[in-house]
Amino acid sequence: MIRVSVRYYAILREARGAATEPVETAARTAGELYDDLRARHDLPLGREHVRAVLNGTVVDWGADLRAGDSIEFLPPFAGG
Amino acid sequence: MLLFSSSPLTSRCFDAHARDPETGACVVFEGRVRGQSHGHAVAHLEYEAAEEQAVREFEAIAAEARAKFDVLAVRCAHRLGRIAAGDVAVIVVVHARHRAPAFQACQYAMDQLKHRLPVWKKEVYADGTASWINADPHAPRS
Repeated sequence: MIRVSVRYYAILREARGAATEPVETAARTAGELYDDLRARHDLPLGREHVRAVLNGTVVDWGADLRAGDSIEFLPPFAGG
Repeated sequence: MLLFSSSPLTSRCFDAHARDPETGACVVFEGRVRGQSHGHAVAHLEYEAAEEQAVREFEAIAAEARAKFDVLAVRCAHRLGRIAAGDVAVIVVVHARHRAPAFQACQYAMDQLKHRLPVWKKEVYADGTASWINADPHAPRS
């Protein structure tokens, strides 16, 4: 298990009921973590609609997770 | 340059930059909150952003606009938080030597930022319902 910091935005933040949280996880990749959190919290969007930002950089779902990482989950954009 | 603001926007946000002696054209686009969305009366919108990522992405968009069109500067201001129908949600300001590239670059920047900035919009309707645009499975697409 590793501990990472998770940030949610917009519809995901509302669904989770929090903007940030520390998470203990057995996930090894960004995608495994998202799927884990989606199942735990009944998040409304599948991976195909979400982008992951790991330590400030947009990453693929296969990106490796390490203890202490900060990961953000971004739902579809709607600026302007 | 991208600025986020929780206060009302006007193109005067960029007055301090408007005195470049090379500038012969200044195009200002204001995006406003429509009072109707797909048949629903809109009470207000709520915007949020991943601000640091959005600022970086807008710098990329502005650099593209300067490379594609003969313009001097491309700037944007975007509201955050709760805003009412009729209010200005976003402003794009382009300075150029001549008007044609200024219009083109303004349209380019606006089109790109709608798809590329990590900004989110929740529409709250007069009937008390709400939806996150582009994200709710049953919501309208912007």
